[in-house]
Amino acid sequence: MSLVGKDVVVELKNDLSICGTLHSVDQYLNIKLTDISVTDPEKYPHMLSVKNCFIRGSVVRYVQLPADEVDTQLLQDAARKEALQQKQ
Amino acid sequence: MNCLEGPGKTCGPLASEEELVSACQLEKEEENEGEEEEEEEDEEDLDPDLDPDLEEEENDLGDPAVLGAVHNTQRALLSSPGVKAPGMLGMSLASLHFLWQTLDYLSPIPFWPTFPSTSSPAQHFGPRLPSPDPTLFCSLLTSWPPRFSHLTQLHPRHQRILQQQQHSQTPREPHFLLTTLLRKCQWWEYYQKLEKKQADEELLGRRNRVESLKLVTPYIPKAEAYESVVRIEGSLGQVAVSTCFSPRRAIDAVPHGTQEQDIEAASSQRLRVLYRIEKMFLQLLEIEEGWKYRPPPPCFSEQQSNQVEKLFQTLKTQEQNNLEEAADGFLQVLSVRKGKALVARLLPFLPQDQAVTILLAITHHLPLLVRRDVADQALQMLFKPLGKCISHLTLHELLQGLQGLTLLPPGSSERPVTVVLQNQFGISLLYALLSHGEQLVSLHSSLEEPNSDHTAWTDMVVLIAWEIAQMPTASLAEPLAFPSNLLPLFCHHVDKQLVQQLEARMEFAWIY
Repeated sequence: MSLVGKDVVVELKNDLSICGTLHSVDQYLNIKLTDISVTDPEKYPHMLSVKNCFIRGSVVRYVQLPADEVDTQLLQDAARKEALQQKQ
Repeated sequence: MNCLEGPGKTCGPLASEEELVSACQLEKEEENEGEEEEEEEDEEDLDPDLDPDLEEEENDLGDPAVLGAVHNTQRALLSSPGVKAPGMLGMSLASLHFLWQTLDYLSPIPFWPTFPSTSSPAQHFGPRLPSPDPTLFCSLLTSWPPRFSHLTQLHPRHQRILQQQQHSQTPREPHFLLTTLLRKCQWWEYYQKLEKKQADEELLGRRNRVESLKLVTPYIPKAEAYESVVRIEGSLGQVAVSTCFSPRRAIDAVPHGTQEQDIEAASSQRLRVLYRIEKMFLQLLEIEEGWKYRPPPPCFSEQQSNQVEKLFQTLKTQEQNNLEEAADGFLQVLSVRKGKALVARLLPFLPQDQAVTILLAITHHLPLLVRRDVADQALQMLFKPLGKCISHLTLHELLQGLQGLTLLPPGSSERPVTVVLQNQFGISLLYALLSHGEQLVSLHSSLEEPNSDHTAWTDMVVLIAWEIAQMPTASLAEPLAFPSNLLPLFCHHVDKQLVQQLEARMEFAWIY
């Protein structure tokens, strides 16, 4: 299960919300989005011309994922396994 | 700092120092002998020396503030008690120091930034200089660059500027010196007034003297009280909110709040249940891992069946000796969404008898579970695994399970089955059970004589049919699956009229 190619909304710590197609994510949770648009009212007009962006992981507050695309059972199981491994 | 930006730029107070030095020295030479006697005269004599320059400045600047400063300077010089250091002229050290600091403050180009330049003096009386040290000042004037004793406490920026000045040898513009000097005078007068006010207040006992001598950073009062930690409804944790005046506060690891006893108990109970569920999930994951590359159950290896057994016992809360409490523990697990997911995933691994136990427990407590599931609506995930278990039920077991639903509870006129019928999972499970019962009965009817079970069964069916007929169509929930043998079942046991009513209702519900 991968969300690459799906639409996500990234909310940053400076309250900017960017909607775009997920291109890639790395170990620092840096996010690359393509075909972005700024959700919420266009009070950030400087983003109008931007197509693709790279978001540094440390500035991200939330990532809103599409509920249908996420297998919560799988996610929970993976989280449990990881927590168990960390404990051991 | 403009004055530090290299040659060609002004460096007022430095130059003013030198000027003062030269003036002092001149005066010193002239009046050295009669110094102490002519104290007063000295001070007055100083004025004419200063005056011409000042007048020039006046003409040049035409600034009333500067004018004021000039006069104030003179007054300050005259009125200051003065500490006479040896070798110094009539001009008191203290007053010179005052001048110095006044310049410092009022200089538009912050030269020695001991005071922030943006705020008005009235509001912004934060930083205060350490009390003027006469010996220090003397050394300041007579020796440049200044060398402070190790005890001198300067504002760090002040110190830095001083050090930078030592390195830069910029030519000074004499014109600027006096301007800055005058401005310093103005500031110093203000400072004097303030000190006086402080002293008065101290006399009245309102203020602590020690406090006023500290180097205090400006106090910016909080605009409003804000919640630095926000707890969103239904979340597991907290979110820290910060502003530039109140940076992030540590989130409480342990909740401190005055909660009522029962709320606390309920939340801790819930936490315990969740914790139990998580432990069981870990066991379940192990079991599932074991089955990944093997054929599906019931091909158990001993180890795996042990694991399953262990998990089942945990689920049934084997520590509880009391059956009621054990059932309660099981129900608590089922009241949580995670618990339902756990049971749903566990059922395929359980041996038949254990699965039947769980099914019967669920059926028996169906009204309660339905009520608790109103928020989650997660019971549906149990339907499929339970459906497989139903086929293993005997008629007797089935009757046992359904009996609880048809019995009138004490003090209530409503049968539990009505609640069940209004819930999708409930009605689906009920239909599935009835369908299986019908299968069993029709299978065995030719073989066996009618016994008590059959009678009970008939009564049960009639009762449920009646309840369905009573219910308004709108409140009847839509089942997840509609068994085909249900209507024939009702036809066997109830009269035609009732069957027609049932038909209408059930078809309606099914269509929607």
